Amino acid sequence: MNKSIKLSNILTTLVGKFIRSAVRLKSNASAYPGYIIEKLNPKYIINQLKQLPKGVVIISGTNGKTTTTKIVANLLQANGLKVFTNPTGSNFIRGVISEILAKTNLLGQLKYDIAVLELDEAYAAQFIKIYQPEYALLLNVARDQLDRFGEIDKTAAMLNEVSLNTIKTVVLNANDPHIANLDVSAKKVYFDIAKNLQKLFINDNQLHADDQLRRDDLLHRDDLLHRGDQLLGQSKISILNIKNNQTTKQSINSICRLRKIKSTVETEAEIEIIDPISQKSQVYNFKPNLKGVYNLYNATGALALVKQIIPQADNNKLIKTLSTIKPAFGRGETIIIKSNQTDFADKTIDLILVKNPSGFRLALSSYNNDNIPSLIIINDNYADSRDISWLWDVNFTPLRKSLVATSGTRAYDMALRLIHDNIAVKKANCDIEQAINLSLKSNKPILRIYATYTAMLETRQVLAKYTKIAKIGD
Amino acid sequence: MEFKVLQLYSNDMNIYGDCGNILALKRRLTLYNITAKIIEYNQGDAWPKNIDIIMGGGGQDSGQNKIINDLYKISSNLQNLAQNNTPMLMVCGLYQLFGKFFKTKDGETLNGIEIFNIETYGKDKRLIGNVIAKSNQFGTLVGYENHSGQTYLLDNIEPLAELVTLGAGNNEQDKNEGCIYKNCLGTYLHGSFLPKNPTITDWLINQAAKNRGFNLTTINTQKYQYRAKGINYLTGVEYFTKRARQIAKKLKR
Repeated sequence: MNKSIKLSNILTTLVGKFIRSAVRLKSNASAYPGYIIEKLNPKYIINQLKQLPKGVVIISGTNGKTTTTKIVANLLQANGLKVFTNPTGSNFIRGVISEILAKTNLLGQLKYDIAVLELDEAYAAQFIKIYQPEYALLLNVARDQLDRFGEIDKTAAMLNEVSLNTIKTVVLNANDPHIANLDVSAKKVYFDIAKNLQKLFINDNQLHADDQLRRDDLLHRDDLLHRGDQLLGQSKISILNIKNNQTTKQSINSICRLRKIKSTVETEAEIEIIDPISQKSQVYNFKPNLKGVYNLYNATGALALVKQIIPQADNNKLIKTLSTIKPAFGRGETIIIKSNQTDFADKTIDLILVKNPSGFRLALSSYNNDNIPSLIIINDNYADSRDISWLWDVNFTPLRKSLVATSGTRAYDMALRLIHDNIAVKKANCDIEQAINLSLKSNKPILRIYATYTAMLETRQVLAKYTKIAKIGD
Repeated sequence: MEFKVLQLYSNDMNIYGDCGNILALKRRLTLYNITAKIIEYNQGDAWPKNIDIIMGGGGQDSGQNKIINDLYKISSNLQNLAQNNTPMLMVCGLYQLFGKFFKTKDGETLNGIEIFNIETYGKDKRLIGNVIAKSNQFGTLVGYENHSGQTYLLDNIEPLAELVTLGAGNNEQDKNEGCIYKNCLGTYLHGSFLPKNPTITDWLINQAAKNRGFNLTTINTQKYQYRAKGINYLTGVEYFTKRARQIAKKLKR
């Protein structure tokens, strides 16, 4: 880097750090410094990221970005890399800049080996205009925030910009036609799941096409789970061309496959990895420390990506590291409250973020819900999605035997939704704190809270009164 | 008694909570002791007979392209049913395609099946947000709109709601929402539309009953009571609907 860039970097960093400390005194507007610096010195983000010897990884898609980013960062760190990543809740460009300001030293140096960035689809499409990433991991496209994106095809088009502008390797989910069909200029690899498991992870198009699937109570579909599958490299994969709605068989090199899972509520599974160096495939048992069947799939994608970045990484070590990773905040986070701090019995709380039909559907099948109190908290702020129509595309029958209450600004809409699925609602209360307190008073040891984004943040604040809640970014 | 409810293009024109309208209709019918037989109609299917109510939803541009030729094929069936006062509810995409045409901003024209005397123009500005609209016939309607097409009503057709007090409705100029022609309703409102607007659901059911030759007047809902085991559809529908509507009427755009 030449001297004038270096100097402007140092200056920008100092100004940025100053703004950061000033802002922190006032409020929690964490991306504001990024906003200022973006205007003051638009080249700053490029100059900083260019310092990283292994470059930048982008992780995007509708569901699973946060958790997958966390898994990837942890796996790379376990292999000796210094990883720069944006904290959860900052998956947009200003958020990245703010974090760069925090982590750059006073000499303007960003001393990391690689950046792993979670980016919202729209922001990822903007990001590649200023920096072409070395790697991208693209997870899925589902209906989500249609009030922001407009149409699913538009979301897929944004991810297409990302896959086209990635310069080293793009890792794609073969099971999602929107992703599998993306255009890639550099190297393209796939991760996928065994045929029998595909019904667990159907995309939105299939959800409506198959009446039976729509009504399926996935919890009890053992037939989906236990049968093994052919080893990788032996079969062709069907890719659905969404433009003409025809299925063509293509030979794709899937390098990582989720083969078997124990049950939808116990995350223990078999995964097959093709070693990029030896080209040999091997099957491993693994048990992530993350709840939720979708996290098995996220882990598969993460492993595929990490093997591309560090081909020589030891698979056994990777699998072992996976089992230590804790959930990102609000994503199947488990919070334990001890009774000596409160006037109710010991409580284990599962806090699950819900944002769209695919995510909610998988969340509902990832837990045993019978006789467990559930609290569904639906807000309609911008970060939650202002249009709540999507709730009518979720099948809530897995909660049939749960003890359900609702809260959030749209508590009554949610209650209305539930009774339409013949699910009895215990209470609807817009006041989140009151609703949580009431739910905590049940005599059951577990409480499951399904919450939209801002409702999840409010929930964490309420629960923080009872116990220590992990800081965002842990 | 059983009512046959046809869901038009359930695969491709079903993008955002449109299932909610079907479900709301199905549950509401139980209050009249009527069961619903839901028939999903998709491209190439045989056209069913003796349909009582027809429902249609929205889709992406790609969805509209997938179904349009089949829609032309069945248009005379739909026209006949419309002229015979079959109650219908068309939301968003199918609302537009029931009109004369949709003209994109690039000048391309997609012809509709001309049941509604309306025209739609694709514009740059997307109309998105909460909507509150007052209808003389149906009371206050609440919902959420999300459309780049702006629709204009021509002769011999009335709006569904005459005065939009929050949001845009059919277009940026007129202050009306949706349309009504014979027993066919068109609307841009999601939410889903029917759950929070039961006057519309009841009306669709009553028109279907009239076509069968009888009047329905009573609804069999129980008064709201708190129950230890929980509140179900019968005991909760009026209570939750009323409060969900109250919240909706205070929303910002």
